[in-house]
This record gives sequence, structure tokens and C-alpha cells, in this order.
Amino acid sequence: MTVAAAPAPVPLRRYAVLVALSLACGALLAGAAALTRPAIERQQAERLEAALTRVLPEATRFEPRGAGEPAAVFAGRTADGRLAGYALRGAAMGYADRIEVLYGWDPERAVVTGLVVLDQRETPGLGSRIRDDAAFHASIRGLPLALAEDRRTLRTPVALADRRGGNGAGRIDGITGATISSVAVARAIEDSAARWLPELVVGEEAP
Amino acid sequence: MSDVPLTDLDAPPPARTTFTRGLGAENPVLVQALGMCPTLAVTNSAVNALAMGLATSLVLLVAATVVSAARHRIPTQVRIASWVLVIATLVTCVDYGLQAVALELHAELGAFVSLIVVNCLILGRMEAFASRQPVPLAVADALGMGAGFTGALLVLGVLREILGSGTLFGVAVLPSSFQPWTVMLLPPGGFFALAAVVLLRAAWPGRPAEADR
Repeated sequence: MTVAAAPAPVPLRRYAVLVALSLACGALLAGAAALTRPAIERQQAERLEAALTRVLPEATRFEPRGAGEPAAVFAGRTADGRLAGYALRGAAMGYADRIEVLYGWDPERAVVTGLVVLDQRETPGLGSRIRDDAAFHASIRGLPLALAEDRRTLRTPVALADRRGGNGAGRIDGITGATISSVAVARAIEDSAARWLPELVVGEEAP
Repeated sequence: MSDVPLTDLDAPPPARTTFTRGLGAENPVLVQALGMCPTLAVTNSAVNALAMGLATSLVLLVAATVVSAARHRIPTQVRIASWVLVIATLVTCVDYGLQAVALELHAELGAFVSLIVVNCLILGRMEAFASRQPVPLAVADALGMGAGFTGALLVLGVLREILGSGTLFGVAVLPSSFQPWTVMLLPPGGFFALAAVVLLRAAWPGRPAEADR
């Protein structure tokens, strides 16, 4: 406590305590951040690797394409160097927040090979089912995705069954009670495909 | 809600009940109704509830130790600011640690890990107990309150996961013919489960009425 000899209380002590405490806390935080960063980065890399392997099961090696970290597109190659397909990242606004997805695209068969939801904050029990609803993911696997004759636009829109042109093959089977989230996933695929497919197709033919 | 007697806070507490009262008579969730935000928000699965409870308990324990040890050095006028600094630092460390160990779980808990900073359970224990008592008692109190908090969250999480998803810790426990009550995963389900547990606890036969205070 304050020394008895001091005639008036010294408010400076209050500031000194706060400053000293802030410095100590700051040092502790810097240490904690430096200590955990390698582990956090490794976890993130492993998570991305697992997602890439899930959407392109045949590929063993993934080459990032385009800017950004992580890249927006990965070319997946098999052990013997053959192109197994591309993995594309896409995002769209869902019910609660942005939904981020990663999906595989097979340029030869012109279909989506699978999709993983990377990030979502949708309603638990309803919108969150976009992560693992079996019928929803089964309808995305094998979904036709190709460029039109002009090589610049998509041949068919990516949409839910019974929207934009009725039911039928090549439509995503939306989840009951999670329409907004399902539509967002469709839009995430469509937007990123419209952005990247023209480049990827040209890139394949150029060399 | 609670009828805890308003005694002199600076008086030494009966050491015997310092640890146990957090579990029962003064349970932070079920009796004091503190920290309701994480209680209702993240108890939609047992894993989330357990992780949240443990993270909060860890912060509470270390913060109580630091605050109790430094209680003669921190001027009264800046005590709250000092404690918040300590608590926020600890929460951020826990947040980093959780990211490094279990990224998926961290994503699931979202902002609620960072929000431990403003959990009134922690600041409440600092003001009412840790800042006035020696370190061993502060540790006992933090352990008791932390265990009580974790236990209550886990009970809610188990209840909501079984009814809302038909699983427990991710393992199916109900037959597939069971139609999950989605509402139990949504915010109303949190209130239903909390009300049911508080009611059950109050009506439990043979509960030592007010004697354990």
C-alpha cells in the first residue's frame, strides 16, 4: 500500500499499475501467439488438405492456382501426374453469414465431383445441415458443370430443383427448412465456376 | 433470485464450503444465473458445452489466482480495468490454444470463446471473492465455481444433443426411427432445457433445503 510518509495520495500509481500490467499482458500475448502459430497453421493446412482430398479423391498432389492464401483454385494431380480435376473455392451469403465451400470439378466429364463446406454459421439443426445432409451432397456429386459454346459463360445455371427452370437432372436437391442455405451453396458454386472455368479451360488447351 | 445472505464480503468464509458451494448451493448457472449467454448459446452439443465449460473454468482459475495474489498491489480505483486486462489476456491465450489443438471445435464455438472476457461469472468472482481472499481460498472457490459451471453446461449439452440430434458426443444413442427435435438445438431449446434442469433441481426430493448455506 501507499507509504505513510507521502502527504497526499499519488494518483500516478494507478496509471503506473495499469501501464505495467498492460506491458506484461502484451508480452504474454506476443509469446502465446508466437508459440501457437506453427500449430495453428499446421492445423489449417491439414484441414484444407483433408477437404481437397475429399472433393478430389483420386488426386494426391494439389497445385495452387491464382492469387490469395489459400488459393482460389487447386489443380489436383494423381500419383502419375495426370490431372484428376480442379478444386475451387467459392463463397456466398447464407442465412446468417458467408458460407465458404470447396468443390471438385472434373473438366473431362464436366461434372462436380464433391463439395465440402469450409465455413458456415447457419442455424444449428436447419441451415447447418448443408455440411452433411446425404441427399443434398449426393445431388451435388455428378452435377453437370461446363462452359457454353462461347467458352465464357456456364452452359447451365447451378440451381436447386424446382427453381429457375423446374425439376430435373442436373439440379441440386435442396434441404427442407434450409432453402436459403441451400441456394447460397448453389450460388457459391455458380459464381466461382463462372469466374474460374473460362481461365481453366483455356489454360488446359493452351500448352 | 438467489437468497444468498448479504454478509460482510471481506470476512473470511467458512473454508469447508468454499469449494462445494459452487457445485450446488451457489451453482453459477442454476442458482446465481450468471453467464447465461454461453449457457444458452453453445450447449447445443455435449462437446461444445464441455469445451466451453473447461475454457471458462481455466480462465476463472488462473484469473482468480493472479487477482488474489496481486490484491494488495492494485489500487481500488483501477481494479476492474486491471482484472479485465488479466482476463482478456487469458481468454486470448485460451483462444490461441484451442485453435492450435482443435481448430474444428474452435470454429464451432465461434465468437463465444472470445466472449468469455465478458462472462459475468468471472468478473463477479473477482469482485466478490478472489480480490478479498488469500490465494488458496481463491483457488478453491474458482475450482468449485468452474466445476459447477462446467457441470451445468454439460448437463444441458447432453440433454439438448440427445433430444435435438439423437446423438451423444457425436455417437448415435437413439434409434434411427427417432425424429430429432430440431427445436432443442435452437435458442428456445436452450431455455427449455435450462428451465427443466432448474426445476428438477429445485424439486429434487431430499435436497438439504437451505441447510448447506
